Amino acid sequence: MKSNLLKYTLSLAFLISTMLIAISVGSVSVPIPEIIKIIGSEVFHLPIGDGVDPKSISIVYDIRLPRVILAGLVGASLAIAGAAFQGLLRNPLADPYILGVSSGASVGAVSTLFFNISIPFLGMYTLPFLSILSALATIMIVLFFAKKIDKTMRVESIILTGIIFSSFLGSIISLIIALTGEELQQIIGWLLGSVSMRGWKYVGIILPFLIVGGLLLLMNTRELNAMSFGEERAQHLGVDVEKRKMLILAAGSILTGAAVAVSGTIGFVGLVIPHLTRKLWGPDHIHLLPLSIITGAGFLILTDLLSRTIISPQVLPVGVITALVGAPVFAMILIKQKKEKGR
Amino acid sequence: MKKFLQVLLLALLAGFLIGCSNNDSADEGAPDENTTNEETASEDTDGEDSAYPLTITDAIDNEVTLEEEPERIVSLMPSNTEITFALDQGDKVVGVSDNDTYPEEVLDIDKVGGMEFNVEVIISLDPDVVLAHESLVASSQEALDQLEDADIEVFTVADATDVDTTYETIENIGQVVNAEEEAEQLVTDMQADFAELEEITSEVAEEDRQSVFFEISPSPEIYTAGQNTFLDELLQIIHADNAAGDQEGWVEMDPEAIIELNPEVIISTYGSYVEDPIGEVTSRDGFDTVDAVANERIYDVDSDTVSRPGPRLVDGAREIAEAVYPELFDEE
Amino acid sequence: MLKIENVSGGYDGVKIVKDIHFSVGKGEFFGILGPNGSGKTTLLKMMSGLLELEQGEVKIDDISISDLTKKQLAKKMAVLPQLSPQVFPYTVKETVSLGRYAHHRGFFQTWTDEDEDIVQKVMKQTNISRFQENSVMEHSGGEQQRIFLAQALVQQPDILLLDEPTNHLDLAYQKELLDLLRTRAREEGLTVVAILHDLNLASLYCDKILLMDNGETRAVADPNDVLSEELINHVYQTEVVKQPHSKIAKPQLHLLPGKKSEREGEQVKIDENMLSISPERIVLQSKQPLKTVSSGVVGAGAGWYSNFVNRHVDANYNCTNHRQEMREYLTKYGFPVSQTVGMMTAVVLEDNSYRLYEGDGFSVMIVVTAGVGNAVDSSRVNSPAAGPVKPGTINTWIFVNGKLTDEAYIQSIITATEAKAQVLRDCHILDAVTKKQATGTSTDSILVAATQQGKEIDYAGTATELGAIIGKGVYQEMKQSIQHYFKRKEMHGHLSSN
Repeated sequence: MKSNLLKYTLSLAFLISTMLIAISVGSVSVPIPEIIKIIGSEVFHLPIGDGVDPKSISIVYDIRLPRVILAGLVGASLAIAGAAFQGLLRNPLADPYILGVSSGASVGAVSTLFFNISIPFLGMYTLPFLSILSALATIMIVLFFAKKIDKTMRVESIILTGIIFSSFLGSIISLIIALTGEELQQIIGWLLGSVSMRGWKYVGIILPFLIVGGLLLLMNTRELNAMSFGEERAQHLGVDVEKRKMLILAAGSILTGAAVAVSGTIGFVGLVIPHLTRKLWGPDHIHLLPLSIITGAGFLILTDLLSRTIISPQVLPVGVITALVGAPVFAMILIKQKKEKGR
Repeated sequence: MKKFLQVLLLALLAGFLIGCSNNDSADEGAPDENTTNEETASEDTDGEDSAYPLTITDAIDNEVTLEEEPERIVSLMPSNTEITFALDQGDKVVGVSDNDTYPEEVLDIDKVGGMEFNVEVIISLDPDVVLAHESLVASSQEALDQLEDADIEVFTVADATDVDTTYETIENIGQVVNAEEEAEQLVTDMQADFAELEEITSEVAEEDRQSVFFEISPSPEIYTAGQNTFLDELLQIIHADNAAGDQEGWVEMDPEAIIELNPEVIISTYGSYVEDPIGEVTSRDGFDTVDAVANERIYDVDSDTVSRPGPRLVDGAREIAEAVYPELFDEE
Repeated sequence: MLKIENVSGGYDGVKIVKDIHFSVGKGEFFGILGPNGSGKTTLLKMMSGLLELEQGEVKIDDISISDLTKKQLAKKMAVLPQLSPQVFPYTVKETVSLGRYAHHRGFFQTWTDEDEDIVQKVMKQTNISRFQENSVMEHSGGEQQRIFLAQALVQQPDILLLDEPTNHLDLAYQKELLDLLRTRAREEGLTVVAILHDLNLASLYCDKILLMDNGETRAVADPNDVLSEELINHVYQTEVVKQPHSKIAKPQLHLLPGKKSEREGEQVKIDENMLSISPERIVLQSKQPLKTVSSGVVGAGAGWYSNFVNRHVDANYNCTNHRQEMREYLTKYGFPVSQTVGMMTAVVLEDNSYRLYEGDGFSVMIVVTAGVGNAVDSSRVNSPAAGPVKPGTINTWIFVNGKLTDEAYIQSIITATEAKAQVLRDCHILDAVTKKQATGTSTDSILVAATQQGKEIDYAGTATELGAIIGKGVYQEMKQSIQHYFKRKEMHGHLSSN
């Protein structure tokens, strides 16, 4: 039995160390004292920023810091949403995209790029705004149809409807891409997923969704525990399954939609992190969700760091790195566990 | 679901690469190091009148035999079209690719497809020769084979990635469309124009040489042109430095690195599809410390003129030169 | 406590449960029986609030469950559904603790000492404490069943619904689980409603049983009434035989496998040729087992046996554990104990007499060995023979080639005994102590075996043909045997024992 203190200490240590490394390492090397000065003066308005190269300030404060934080927030959102979906759907291989939320968000984003939509007062936020909107619309439609198919809204019906919608929306994306001329590269770039060049504003966009969605999920941890034994079981234990299920699905979709909206579809985090966290620290959602947040944030920060430093100053798509790093780590843990069990 | 996404992404990636090479031949990621243009007309058929039947070896070592002077030409690549028009043979062009935009006349010519051209349409146009492109061979081998099976002569033009090779492709097309003199003239003119640009910009003092950063795509995925690209070569001609000169080919750059490179001039080529390309650059967080942004030296050039290996490269070079060294061109 | 009032319902408008009506009292163990597809599980889902009722009401303490919140309901009623596969490796304790969910309020209520106490207590009761930190997935179906039972019990419900709780359990766990439930019902007033598959288990544990057929009530009554052969044969469309449990006052039902013809097996007829007689023992071996009622040393009572051994022992045979000794003897000579009825006698086996009597469509073979050395008057009950059981003196075997009812077996014994008394009277054999007419010896043994093939014979009283043959046959064979006994005694002119 691993103590809770150990779980959180190790996870937080991982997050904090990846953050520190990610802030200090990059294509351009900025000495750590300088970084401390920059953060001190820019974030906390301490009068220690003198004598620092303004270019370094730009790089650290305007580019690197928001990038690291955004990566953390996106990783956290995807990981907690993944953990919730896996518990709710009783499927350790479910990911936050399973219900078509990401396809929905993608259709919103790709349409924005394709039709060059710009809503006047939203300006550059048109894309994340429409993307979240279409993610939410998608989950509404999915749930609506799932209810039409099956009044009791069993998990299987929801997954089935989600998959149907994913394919449908996926084909819409393919259609748009086929019709695309010069915006193609933008669309592709967006679909590949990235936390690059979003700046503080995007941090501001995702943060409220993470807080709302995260809190909603954290308030349903015991219900998730009950529901991972099956919906009927949960109801017998006194869980208002239908209401809780809607809440959890909505919260998960908000989180996924917001993450996709600010960073595109970054795979693997929402699938592997919860799974990994569960393997390491146990399936109890009361701890699984917060630990997934922490680990997910650290993981995406780490992979984003790799994506921008491996062949610096060139950049690799972060989604490629998440899979590249995530899959072996995942495999290692599975094998190690099996060995331990075998003893 | 996961798998589906991955497959989709792969498909997209593949489509992206093909699309690029189709849109703009020069967008080919890998530099073409040993482009060898072995197609050489047999010396003994040089005589103008008795040229036909004419046998030419093309860029992929196919022997193409033309029984007589081609009257109907289909071009599968904008650069081929532009060259053909520049050789005054535009009236013979009966089909062009979807991506063709220049000259204006092409808008009235039948389109034969973009990424994947439509073999049926090409056959129905009954061309005497199809001007294909080396960059299409990988993706459209089957379609090209079908054309040859239909007894249509397909001449594959080399994929030029530098100016000299471009001259050679102009000469090759000249041979095919029976306009060798025009081709020689065109090449001479281009050489003269480039020489002039070089001449003008040679006045720039070593300490005044500008470092230029190209942006091929807008943020967040900012791609730039490194060595072995037309853009790099054009900068050399006009005596400017490529800020991303350490890179090779077309690469996505870390924004941090761009700030660190601190170019004096930023030139974007995505003005055709981004509404306010200059605003796109200036509004980026953290870019205000970059000299180009601070000094408002951001320009947008037509990507076609700097990426299509055709006669308009000179225009592109001039546009860049005027942007980078406006003082040298003031009097004009 | 729990009232089910005219409940109907099902899935997608198809009525599976039709107008079910019953009530369960506090502390009652209520069983629901019925063939597959009879709507048992559907009914249970409706009772537990999972499935909406189309009609009727389910009430707990006169409150309809639809008026309760999910948590309120969970505090009154817990459910142990059929096992489903686990996906996540929760520990046993985590799993059990989930049962406290309904007792928690608010979003972040913490785990209290009371919660902990209840969980620990229940885990101890269900005997899962020792692996509380293990993953649920590591455990067998039986252990998982107990874990989920514990989860249901920590809900501290008044009512516990169970859907085939003994599935996946082996025999000992079935008993353990049901015993536990019955104890909770008796001692703590837990109301138990269980769907059961096994009619005999239901009979053993249930206070009351609902028998369902095709969604309808076939019977709601106590086990003895519900488990009648007619009702079960009708509802389950299969032939069963009802018998009392051999140890407790509960009915048990026995299945009859296959078709009638298959059950009877190879035809067999018992006759003199099957007997083998030696000084050590008289043996009859049948190819088919015979349904036997006997008072043998081994194989006593009712059962199916194919070997019948009457063993000669010395008059001084005295063994404290004669049953064990007899088993060893049988095994030594190649008679499987489970298929053998064994008797002992000190009589010289020459003094036997046997014969096959033919009746109308049946036949009876009677084998007797007799000695009357310790003949007694059965009315002398005040001083029963002390000490270990002495080898029997009159052993009577009756083999019937026919099909006997239970009555016929018992009547055969009566008839044979009456015949025996008659023989002793006619031979003027007196009780050595009272000097009155003897009715038998103190250690007589009898065996009635029938092939259970051929003619059905309902009765064996003296007025029936079978009774007449048994009476006459036993009389004749026994008399002859006793005469052999006297003759031999006179010839040898000295006292043999008995």
